[in-house]
Parts: sequence; C-alpha cells; structure tokens
Amino acid sequence: MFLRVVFVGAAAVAAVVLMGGPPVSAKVEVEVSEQDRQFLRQAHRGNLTEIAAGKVAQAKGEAEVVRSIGAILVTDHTRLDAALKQTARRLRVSLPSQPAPQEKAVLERVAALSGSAFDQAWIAAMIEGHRMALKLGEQELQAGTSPEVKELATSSAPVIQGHLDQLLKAQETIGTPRAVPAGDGGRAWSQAAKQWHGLGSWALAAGLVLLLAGALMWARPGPWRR
Amino acid sequence: MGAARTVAALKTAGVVSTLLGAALTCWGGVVLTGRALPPPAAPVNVGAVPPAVPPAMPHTADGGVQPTGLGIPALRISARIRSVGVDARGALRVPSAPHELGWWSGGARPGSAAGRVVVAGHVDTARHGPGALFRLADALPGDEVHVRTADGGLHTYRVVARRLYPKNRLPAQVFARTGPPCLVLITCAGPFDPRTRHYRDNLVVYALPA
Repeated sequence: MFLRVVFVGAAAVAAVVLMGGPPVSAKVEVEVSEQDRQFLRQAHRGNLTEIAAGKVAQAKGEAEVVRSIGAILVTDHTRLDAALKQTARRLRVSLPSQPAPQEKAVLERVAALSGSAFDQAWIAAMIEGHRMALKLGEQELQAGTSPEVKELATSSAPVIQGHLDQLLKAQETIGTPRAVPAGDGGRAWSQAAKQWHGLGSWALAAGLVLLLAGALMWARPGPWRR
Repeated sequence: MGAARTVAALKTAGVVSTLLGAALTCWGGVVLTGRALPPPAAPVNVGAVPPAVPPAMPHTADGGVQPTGLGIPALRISARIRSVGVDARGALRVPSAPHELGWWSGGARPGSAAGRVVVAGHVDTARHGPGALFRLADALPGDEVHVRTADGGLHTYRVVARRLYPKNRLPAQVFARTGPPCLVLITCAGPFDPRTRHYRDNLVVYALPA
C-alpha cells in the first residue's frame, strides 16, 4: 500500500512537473485515490437518497415507527453529508448534485404507494440502501488510500449500522396486522342467541307444564281411577 | 287390584313427569338468563388450510392487480373493496360502511404468483347493522368467490376451508406473503360481549384460485 502511494505520488509529481501545474495539487493527488473519490461520490449520493427518503417517510408513512425513522434519517444523513462535503472540498473532489438514477427510481416507485404497502416497501428499500452503504464503507476501508476519507467511512459506519438495526426491527413489527376488529354490533351473535333463547323458552314452558301435570298425577291419582 | 296398579303407575308417571319437567325448566332458565352458549349451527372449522410456506417456492407477493370488488353468489354477498392499512396498534382498518370491504394493501394482490390476498369486512356494526360479511359463517367448501380487479379482470376462487380463531390469537400465517396464491376473507364471529362491544373470535375463510 505504502509503495503504491509513493508510486502514485511520484507519478503525480512527475505529471505536475511535466505539465507545470502548481505543486499544491500534487499533495492532493498523492492522498486521494480513485477508490476514495468513488467512495465520496457514492456515499454522498447515498446520503442524498436517504435524506429524500426520510422526508417522504415523514410525509407518507402510515406507521409511527416509519415516520420517526424517517426523521432520524434526515437528521443523521444531513450531518454525515455535511462532514463528507467538507472532506470532499478539502480534497478537491467534485460531488454529484443528485442521487443515483436507479436509487431515485426506486424511491419514486415507493413514494407512489400508500398505506402499509408504502411502509413495507419503504422499509425494504431502506434496508437495501443501508446494507449497500455499509458495504461501500468496508470497501473504502480495505482499498482506500486517504486517511481522511477512511476516517469518514469509519465514523459513519456505526450510524448506518444503527439505522439498519432500527429498520430491521421495524420490519418485524409493522405492516402485518395483529388484529382484525370487524364487528361491534352484536347482531350476528344475537341472531344465534335469539334462536337459542327461543328453544330455552319452549323448554321452560314445556318443563313447567310437565312439572304441574306430574305433581297432579302424583298427588291426586283419584280422578282417573274411575 | 287393577285400580291399585293404575294408581301406582300414575304415581310413577307423575314422578317421572315432575323430574323431566324440573330438568327442562332448569335448562330453559339457564339458557334464558344467558349462562349457556348456543352450539354453532354447523362444525365451524371445515376443510384444510392451504400452507403458507411451501418448501422451495419463490416467496414474492409481487405482481397482480389491486382488487376493487367481491361477490359470493351462494351467500348473496356483493361488496366494493377499498385498500386499507394497519393502525398504530397493529389493527387492520376495516371500513365501517356496510357494503364495503377492506383489502390489506401490505398483502398480495389477486393474480400475484404467491401470498394471501387478505380481504376483511364487518359482520355488523352498532351504527349500520349487518355488514358486508354478515353471512360469511355460512360459507362452505366449494362456494365460488369472484374478485374484480382495477384492470377490469375477474378472478374466481373456490372456498376450501373455514376457521374460527380467538381474536387475540389470530395466526400470523393468515397474512402470509408466501405460499401458493390464496384468498383470505376475515370477519368477526363467536360470542359477543355487550360491555366491550367485541366479538370473541375472528372467522377466517380460505379460498384458492378456481
């Protein structure tokens, strides 16, 4: 790794010397590899997507947990992106101004849904996005060059992991109904109960008649003797 | 001699009649004071519930089209379907209008390759009386269920099973997004508590594509 940095640095210095550019940028070229640039750009696009998704969730989420995770995403990714932009500016890496087209398309498709379909699709998309973000960070830590960019990846990982944990927990609890309240009139029951009560009334009446007749037969068998 | 025998017979008949009468009177009294529950008209649980997670089956409830209406000719049931979600406490928002059913928008759509299409309706409401699924308890295996979809399509299902579950123990498989495509109709049933205004059970009818 060190050798590679030295080599890239030497090549950059040679190029600068050949082109007669300012020596300041030589230092920047030494530190920032293509992997670092890619990471900064992709992580920035990810942040833009998560911020937009968080805002959509706050507006459209049906479950409280979706709206609250949405708010957390907006706050945290705005903060992460501010640090990222600062680093990018210092290292003179230009950043895109829009989320990645395919991520934007996913978000648009999710935003078109409503109710618990929205909640479920949103959570699924966010889980996917956060897993991707974690992978990007790991890649940067393995293959990146700039200590500053690597530090950025290291410090954002626990925040992203925290979001992922919350999303996975929410996915288990929301969406699927736990109860179906589908009647508060009591008629379906009272209809069955009415028939049952009818039977009960007849039994009571017949029972009383039998009781009376039986008592009479037992007490005064006389009248039938003749 | 004969007369004495008759008297004895009459006395015996009197005792039997009295005992029978007392028993009937007691039972009638228990029923009328509401301490005995009526037996279900027919065995409530019939048929076999379709499996929710068959091995080695792609489990995506994607595809299909949103349902807009449902009819069960055998029960003279016909109702519109609205898309509904779940409230903060996890209860499905069943529409209260008497001729409206709620399709759980988190579940499968008619025509999807997998998962349950969940449609719920009130058995009745205090406000509107009998609901769209008032007669669902009479559904029998073999009954046809027609579901209209937003694209104008018509999907026919056939009832295969009927189950009564205590409301607080409604199995999660009812809402499975996996398994072969299946239509699930849910309403309330069982004894009604006039104090809490709740039925004790949920009635669930399972139907497979015909």
